[in-house]
Amino acid sequence: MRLELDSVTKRFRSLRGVIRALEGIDLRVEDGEFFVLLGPSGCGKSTLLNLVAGLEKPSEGRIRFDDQVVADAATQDVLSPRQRNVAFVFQDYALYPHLTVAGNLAFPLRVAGAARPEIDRAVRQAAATLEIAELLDAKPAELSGGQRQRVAIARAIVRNPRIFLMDEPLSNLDAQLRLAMRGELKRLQRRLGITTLYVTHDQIEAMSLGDRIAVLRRGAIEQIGTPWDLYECPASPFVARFVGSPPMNLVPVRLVAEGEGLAVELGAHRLALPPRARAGSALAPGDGALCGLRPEQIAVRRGSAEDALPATISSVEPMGREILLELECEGHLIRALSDDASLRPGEQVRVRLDLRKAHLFPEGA
Amino acid sequence: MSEEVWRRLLTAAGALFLVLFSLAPFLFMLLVSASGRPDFLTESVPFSVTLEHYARVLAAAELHFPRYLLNSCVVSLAAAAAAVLVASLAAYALTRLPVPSKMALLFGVLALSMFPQVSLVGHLFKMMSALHWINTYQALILPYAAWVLPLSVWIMVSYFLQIPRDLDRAAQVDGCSHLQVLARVLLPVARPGLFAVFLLAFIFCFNEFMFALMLTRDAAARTVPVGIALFEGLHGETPWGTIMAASAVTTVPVVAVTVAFQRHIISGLTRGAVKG
Amino acid sequence: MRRRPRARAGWQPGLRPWWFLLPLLLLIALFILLPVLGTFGTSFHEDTAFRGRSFNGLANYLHALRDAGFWQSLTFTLLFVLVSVPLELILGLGFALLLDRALPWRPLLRVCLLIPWAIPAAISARTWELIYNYQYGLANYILRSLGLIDAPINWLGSDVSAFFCVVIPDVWRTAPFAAIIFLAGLQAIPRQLYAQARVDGAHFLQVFWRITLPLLRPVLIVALLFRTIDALRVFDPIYVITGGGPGGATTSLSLFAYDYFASGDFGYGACISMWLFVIALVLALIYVRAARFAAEAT
Repeated sequence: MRLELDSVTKRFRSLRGVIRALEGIDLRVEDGEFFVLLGPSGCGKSTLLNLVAGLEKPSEGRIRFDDQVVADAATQDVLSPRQRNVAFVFQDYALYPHLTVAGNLAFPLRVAGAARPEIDRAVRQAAATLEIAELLDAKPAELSGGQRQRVAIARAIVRNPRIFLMDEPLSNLDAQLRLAMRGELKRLQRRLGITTLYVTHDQIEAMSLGDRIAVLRRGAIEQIGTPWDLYECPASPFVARFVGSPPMNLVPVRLVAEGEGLAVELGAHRLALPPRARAGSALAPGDGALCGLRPEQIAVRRGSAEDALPATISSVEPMGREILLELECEGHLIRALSDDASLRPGEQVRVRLDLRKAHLFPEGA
Repeated sequence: MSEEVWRRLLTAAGALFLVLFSLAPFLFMLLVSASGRPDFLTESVPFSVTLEHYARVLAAAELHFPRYLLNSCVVSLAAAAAAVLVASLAAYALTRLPVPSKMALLFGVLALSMFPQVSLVGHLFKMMSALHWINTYQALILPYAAWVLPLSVWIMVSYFLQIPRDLDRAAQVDGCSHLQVLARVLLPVARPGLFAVFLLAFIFCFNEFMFALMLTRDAAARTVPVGIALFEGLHGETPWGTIMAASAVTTVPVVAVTVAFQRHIISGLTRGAVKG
Repeated sequence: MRRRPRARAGWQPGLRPWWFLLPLLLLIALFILLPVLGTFGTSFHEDTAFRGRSFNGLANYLHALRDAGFWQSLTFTLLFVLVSVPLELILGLGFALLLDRALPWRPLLRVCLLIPWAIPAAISARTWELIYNYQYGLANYILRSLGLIDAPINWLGSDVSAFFCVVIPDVWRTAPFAAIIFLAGLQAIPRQLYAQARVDGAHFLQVFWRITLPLLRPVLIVALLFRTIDALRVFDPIYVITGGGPGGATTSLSLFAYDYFASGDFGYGACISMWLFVIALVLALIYVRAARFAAEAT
């Protein structure tokens, strides 16, 4: 199913006045796509999910499932969740504590008034898919976190929904289980081919799961793209900082003319900007800018080199394969990755910035 | 003696006093109900055990006692059931639906229990007379249900607030209407609370006195508290043995239920935390 | 388009919440608000079973001010509140403190507390009536056995003793109830606070005054408010035990008003119950004010 949001806005009225949760959201999720909504808490991503589920109604705009309008603020036509046939997986799983696992899986079918044999068959099939057949008679309270997660997903797939909506479904699992579940979820979604809208604040999860990702910030979409797009071409400093780990360095610089091209001025140093880094930006000499560089694009060396900047190591954080360094360079704090295990805090080093992949954002963006 | 020993002694004495204080009248009731003569305390008469009072209470037609008991049970069960039903619906609206000025409504309902019963009873009598309902079950059931509703709503709301919102959102997504969310998810999950409200409402109705005194006339609708309170002997001599036997027959089941479900009752009371 | 969505689909807000609230509002309006308003209206009328109903303005209220019976029952009611409520709360707090300790038999003791409350007041009042009985009452028997009195006392015969004869059953019934509420409040106090206070060298009386009591104050205030309002309208034990006697000395305002209703004088009965309501309201407002003032002062 294809999901389309057409300039959707959601406002809440509260004691402190009107809160704008979402502002002019345009979004198109293709049939069978695994689409991730990524953003910090309070960015409106859960509200967006609720709007699609029909748990809230939009203040403005339209939502369509294929060609069917499921919510239209202008005409007040809004389908209830039961009319939309969507499935929701909640962060805390929201399993019905008074029902067994089998009862939980059967619940949506019973409410829909399905026949008994049909319910049994669907429950068994969903249970087999998620490998929870032996848990069918247990109550949710007797299950582990991972098992509850499986039951919640099984309940979502049991009645062939038009779309899966998932609200941080993995955030209550421990790290190892989360990793395993992530892979399984992705495979399951591929196999079933059901359009999925997935909310998370964890950018690694978003990158590994999503076919495409929308980054939300303060109720508006900051950027939509594939994980690769977001990583390679962040549309704003916010996306640049939010996607990728460790996060991108953003250093305020001034642009100056250098021959036919441009250079960035960082303190007393002037670094020529390769043409590639300027592509698409309307920056001119004299402008201030934020220069974005990923930690892996900064090389740290001992000794001297004429095109490298002097820096002081302020902290060393081993991360396994590599070492994360925090450096003091021209009055800025810069993070860099290195594989030299002998580097120590306080040491004077030289850093070479690889500006070919630098991202320049206009000042104040 | 050390402080610890003193404290232990004091605690034991306190516990003993507590037990005596709360049970003595009840035990005295049982004692008199089973004794051959009410004046067994005066030394000249020996204590004798008899079940004659119980037999009389349960069998003597002119006392109407079994009928009082039946009336009490019917009225209290019906009123408690109605209160639970109405309170669940209201608590659902107050905790899950967009109701303007919820808190004001909730406190307003609670404030209703401040009205003295006597400020209702006169007009209730007029109403019931006009409806020709005096001395009928419905004349008690409806005011009782209304009377226990503030407490019932208050307790139900506190139970519903404990149920995570995601659970009923899940139910909505799974295709439930609001009534189905309430009936299939919230009520089963809040079953202990439901039961507590029912028990409390039942006990309050069962114990009610003034309305029943004013709105009933005879055994057709009279409840046990009124029956026992108005119980007088035929010959000027108060039949204490019979009265105590009737009291015992009434209170022993109530006490048994209270003991059996004390956990529910205490949890309900502490949530209500308001009414005596 | 598969299905044309219905305008204002069912789950939406709008009138829906009011359907859920309707039964509550209807029952309360018909059987609480309407009677109260009716009583309020009637209090400005002469309304007796024999002479019918006619408006008489404030005549009932003015008559009450000159009515010795009204003043007697008002005095009794306030005295009853003044004596029984502190007794109930102090005793209840004592029981609660006792049960807050880790006692081996705590569940048993807690059940004991529920029993006086669970027995219908009118029924237990009959037992109390028998306990006070001149001939075969438990009270006279115990006091004589202990040699404290020579001849039996007619407890219900004098003003003072009859007063305590109706106070005691009320305390018996409600002190354990207060204890249950207080116990819940006590158990909400984090144990570490006590441990910390003991480590800091506080004596247990100091712990009580400095930690337990201040933290319990919200519960105490609520209990005080509701017990006061409840005690003001005391009816059941008085109706059964003394019937208001001797000579009207134990007639509470509820009983005073009820007797007028029962004898068919609705106007004056309504007026008395309005007085009772106003007194309850004034006391409640004073308490709420005082509680807020105390909260701001600290």
